[in-house]
Amino acid sequence: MSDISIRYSELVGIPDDFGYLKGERHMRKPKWKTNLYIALMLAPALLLTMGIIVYPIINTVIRSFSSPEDGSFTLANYVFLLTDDVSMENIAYTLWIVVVTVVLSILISYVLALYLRFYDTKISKFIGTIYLLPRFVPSLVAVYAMITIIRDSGFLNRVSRLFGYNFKPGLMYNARGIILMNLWFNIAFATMIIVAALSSIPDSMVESARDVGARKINVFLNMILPLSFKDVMIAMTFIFMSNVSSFTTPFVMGGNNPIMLGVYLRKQFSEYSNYEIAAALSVIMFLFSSVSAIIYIYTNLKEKEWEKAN
Amino acid sequence: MKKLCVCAVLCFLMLSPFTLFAGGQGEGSAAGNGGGKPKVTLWATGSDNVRMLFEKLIDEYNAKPGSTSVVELQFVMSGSGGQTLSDRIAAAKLAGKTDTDFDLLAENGSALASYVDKAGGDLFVPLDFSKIPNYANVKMKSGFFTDCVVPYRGTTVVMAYDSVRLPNPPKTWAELGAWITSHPGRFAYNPPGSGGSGAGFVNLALYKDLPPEAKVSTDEKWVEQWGPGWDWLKSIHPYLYTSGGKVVYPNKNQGTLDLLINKEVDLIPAWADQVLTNISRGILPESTKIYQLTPALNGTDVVLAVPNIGGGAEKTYDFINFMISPEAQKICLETIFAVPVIDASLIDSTYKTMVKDLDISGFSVISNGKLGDVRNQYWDKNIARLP
Repeated sequence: MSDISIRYSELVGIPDDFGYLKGERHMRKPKWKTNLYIALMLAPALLLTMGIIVYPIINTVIRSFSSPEDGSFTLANYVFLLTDDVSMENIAYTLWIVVVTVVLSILISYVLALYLRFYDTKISKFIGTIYLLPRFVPSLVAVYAMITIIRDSGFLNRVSRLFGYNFKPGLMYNARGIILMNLWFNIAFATMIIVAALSSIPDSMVESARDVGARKINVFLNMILPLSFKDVMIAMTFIFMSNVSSFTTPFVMGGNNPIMLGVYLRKQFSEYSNYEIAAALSVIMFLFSSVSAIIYIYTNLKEKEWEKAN
Repeated sequence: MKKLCVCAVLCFLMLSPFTLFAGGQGEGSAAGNGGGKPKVTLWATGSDNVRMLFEKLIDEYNAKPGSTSVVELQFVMSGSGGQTLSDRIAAAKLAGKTDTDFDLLAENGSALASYVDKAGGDLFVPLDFSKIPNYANVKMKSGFFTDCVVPYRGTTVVMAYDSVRLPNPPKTWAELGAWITSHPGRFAYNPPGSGGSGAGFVNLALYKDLPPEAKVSTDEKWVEQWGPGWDWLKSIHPYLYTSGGKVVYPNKNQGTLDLLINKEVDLIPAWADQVLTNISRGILPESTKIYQLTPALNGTDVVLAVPNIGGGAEKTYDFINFMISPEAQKICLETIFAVPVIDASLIDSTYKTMVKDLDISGFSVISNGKLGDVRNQYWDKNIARLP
């Protein structure tokens, strides 16, 4: 194993002093002018971030603990969301859809990425050229395009009627349709990340392992999988986060009950005018995303340990 | 030092769009004043079709040699996440401003209550109708703030159906219930929180047997009277449109229209103007027809009103008078299939046959304000979760 543990940075071709200003690697004390320069250059971005991200987040957290009547401190908004039947069904439904989406997209993307990386045929080249297309289609356009195909009176149904059947896919207004649409969006993204990870594994390494008699399955389990693990985790994290809060797909394709949290949030906010409960729900969604962010940071740190080993 | 200067300039450049934007809003009002005529800023809100309508009407008005003012449109797109028009006007009013450019407002009659709720009872200026000669032709006097508003068009929820698949649609509420149960899966309405046509249908179920004063009341006591309406909605639930083995209520006004377009259902409640627009574009077949139920689904008049923080009513009268002239009413009808507020015989247009069954004086207005939230929440909790 040790012969393949070359530095990760070499593997992906990042220069060792990446992230330092030129010459700073061998630390000379930065002058105050340099500090001021950096601070001034960062100031607009920092102010903007504080103003449009940090301030609203703080505001939302405070509001989520406020009583709608007099603004005093209360846990009632959270208690409602975590005990109410409708709300709990929606949370469970959302997590279920997101987990299924993450698992299916990663599985499919990984197989697709392996194929694109290790098979050099005309078909793989063709797929390699077009698999990113979904990233360039606006989401609302894609959702409506999908609907015209899968709805009970859609393209599939019309084709089946040409042959004397009346096939109704039954994919609209339930979880199956949402998951199908999520796969459409996320497979391209996950494949892109995993292909990049697999491309950084040199052919020579795989070939040398094969030369000394490693079986394909061993090459996969002991080399390819560990070397791409971090990127798979990154892909999973991003798919999880973007789907926990998704709105367009579940709003247009979902049923009436249960509903995903993005749609539920809109209902609380603009249909019931329960601003405090909406704030608490945002915080809960934020926490779900944080869990995946923590997993992401943790895997990143682990990678650093692994790099230290040599 | 040179570097410092450079980055100071850079910082200024990065921040300048914000400061310029903040400072630029009030400007430009003095400019572009055509030949000494006073400028009237018209504020309107709604979907894009309403913006197109006003752009057409204003071009027409400003081009008239006899016009006594120059109208300029400020349009607030609904549902774009920005500050609503009512919030903006209320903010200006509560800040004590009296000299704003909120000269004239176009809004649904049933929505005016929310403006007054926020900004106070004296927001709208009483109008001198003797200076609006065409007002004599207006068939419907608004039910809200009658002395302060002039209705210029109507909009209503109707029943839409395909006359080929459904030659004899149910005309009354009782017939509708019987038709739905004998034709499982052929009727759909959208969740009341997702669009006005579903809300109109649910409102009718809840209010049809209540006294007339309930329809324009925001008093919580009426919520208790909704029981029979909810029971009726629950009773028809198993007979509505299904997909994947479950009854579904498609989101948005367009959701049910899509079902009608794709022949998945035969009858839906829908906004009259949306159906007519779809027919005229060939998305719905010519055989699609609309009619009004007995009792009627709810509609509203859309009115012009003058807030007391603008430039006063005097300079707006000429434009208001134009808006209810046969000429402008024809533009409203032909652009967004608006129901005219004047007698159809005064309008010269082939389009009027399309709205001939929609008489604005027969509109049933339900304006229950914040009770709408209670209704949506109850529906989501009790109807949407039925198996």
